[in-house]
Amino acid sequence: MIIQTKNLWKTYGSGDTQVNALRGVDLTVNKGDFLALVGPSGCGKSTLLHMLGAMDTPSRGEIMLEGRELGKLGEGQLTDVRLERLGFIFQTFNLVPTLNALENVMLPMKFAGISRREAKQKALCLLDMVGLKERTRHLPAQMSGGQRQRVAIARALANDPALILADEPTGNLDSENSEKIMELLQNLNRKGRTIVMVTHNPELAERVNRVVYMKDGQLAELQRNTKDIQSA
Amino acid sequence: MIELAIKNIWGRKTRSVLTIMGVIVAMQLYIILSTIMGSYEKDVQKQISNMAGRVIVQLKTESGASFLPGSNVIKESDAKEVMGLQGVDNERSTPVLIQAIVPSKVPNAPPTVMAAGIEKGKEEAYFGNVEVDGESKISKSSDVILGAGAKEFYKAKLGDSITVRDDKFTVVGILPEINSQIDASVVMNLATAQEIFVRPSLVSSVMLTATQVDKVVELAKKVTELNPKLTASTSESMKKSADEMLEGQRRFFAMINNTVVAVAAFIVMIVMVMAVFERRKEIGTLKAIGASRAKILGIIVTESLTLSLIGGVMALPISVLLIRLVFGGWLFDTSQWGQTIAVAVGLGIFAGLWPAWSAQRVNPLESLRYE
Ligand SMILES: Nc1ncnc2c1ncn2[C@@H]1O[C@H](COP(=O)(O)OP(=O)(O)O)[C@@H](O)[C@H]1O
Ligand SMILES: [Mg+2]
Repeated sequence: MIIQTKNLWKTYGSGDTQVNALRGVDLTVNKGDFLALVGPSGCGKSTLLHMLGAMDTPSRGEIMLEGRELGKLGEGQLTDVRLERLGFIFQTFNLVPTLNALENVMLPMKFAGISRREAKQKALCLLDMVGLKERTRHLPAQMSGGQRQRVAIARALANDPALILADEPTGNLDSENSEKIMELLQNLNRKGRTIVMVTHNPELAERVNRVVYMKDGQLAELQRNTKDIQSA
Repeated sequence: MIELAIKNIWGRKTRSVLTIMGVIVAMQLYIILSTIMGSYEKDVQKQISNMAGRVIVQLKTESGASFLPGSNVIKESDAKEVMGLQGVDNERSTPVLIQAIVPSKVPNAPPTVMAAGIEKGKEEAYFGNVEVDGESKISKSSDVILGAGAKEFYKAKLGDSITVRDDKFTVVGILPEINSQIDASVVMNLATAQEIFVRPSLVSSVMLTATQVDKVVELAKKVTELNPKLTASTSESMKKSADEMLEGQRRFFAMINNTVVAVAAFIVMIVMVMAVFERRKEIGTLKAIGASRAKILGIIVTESLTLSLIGGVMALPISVLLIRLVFGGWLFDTSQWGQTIAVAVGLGIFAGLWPAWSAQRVNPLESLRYE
């Protein structure tokens, strides 16, 4: 078990405008899972992902990441958790526009105090793995959306996270590039990476080993699909 | 962090160039003002220390003794009378007539080159007992001894001939650097100076040396008792009035300098506040991927510091060139450079603090904002 939530609630606002984005979510993600969170827009998928990503705090309930309760950690410790244990992939790629591909991938390693040489070596390795060996010196503006997302994936892997979180990673990409990103994520999963991905593309949800449906802030149904059974 | 700061500065060239230009404009003004004030102060100190054991007699004006030599005249007969006082070492005292040849480009400063008419044989009473290249006395009325600065101005060597007010003079002696007044002097006979500048029987001041060093103040008192229209300054009284004058000037320069530095700090701060505002999503992303508050703080302060430092460093050579263009001299002071760099560093850090503070507070969820 990598991460587990117990009776997770998130309430935005107060009084008349109060919104319960999460209403008692119990979710367990095991090592090696490739889990897709699916559900209608506004059902709370992103909210849940941000909680798992230690970016936001629940109103109620607890989150255990590798045996540690996130609610008991201070801000500095949460920052360290995000840096060392989690890798986040954004829908809008979120690369630093003034840094080239290599520097973007090196960034989390530098934050972690890894030496420049080591960081560079590893970043080159990761960029090679995502198929961007020839683009290491390109700025984000000089790359396509698909290439940028691959840089972002390499960046998410920089500090060897225990869990990769992706919020609609293909939401801004055409089908061809979506396909490449999806293959890449599947490859990572095959090598043992644990991934939680939000998507509302049902085709993508077909290709993971666990699908969790969400509705109105609750997990509506847990379904294991065939691939999971094969790989299990 | 320095790398990210430089990349950010480089990645936003127009904004960065304009900011750095603003810092340069402010910092070169700071350097020029400080350099002028510094060299002026040093010179006043030198002049005063040169005066130990001496009394300078000038016409009394409302503002007391003037630091600008040659701004007033007294009768030569009054000068003679003063020199006859008891306690005056007549051999080492002389009436002096100062007349500007090339006025200074800096307002209220001594002339760049000036004639100093000295009683025949008393030259050393004017410039002191220094090692002169060539003659230390002027025997012919067509001879002159040049101060170090005057020599530079005329580009003259011993035996060369120079022209002052249509009259030709031969350079018979060259002085080492002493102080700005003597450096600027073309030392000639008093009678010659009176003739070519049409100041018949007039002098600017009398330089008295007391027979006994500890009787200087007493001698000064005697002078004013003898002739109340005159004022007599000793090195102590000069020091006092110099300090008063310098204090006012220091305050004035400090006010302008502080304003200039504050303006530069504001420029950098505004640019950095805008940079942080523009980059909220980027900063949120950095936090989302694990950058600590301290890292964000460091990134922004480093960027601000880098902008300010580039401006400050570039302002140094520019200020030297500007001083050269406007005032015509290579005036620079390396200790001043260190101070300028220190000011640029302080300015950069100070200007970066507030934007950095607001940046480190950005929520990681800002990374998810749509733009
Ligand atoms: N910062 C916020 N403030 C107020 N309401 C929010 C905020 N973020 C999300 N919500 C609300 O919470 C609910 C769940 O949102 P979200 O998790 O983004 O859904 P999804 O990602 O499934 O589309 C929605 O009703 C949304 O309007
Ligand atoms: Mg969403």
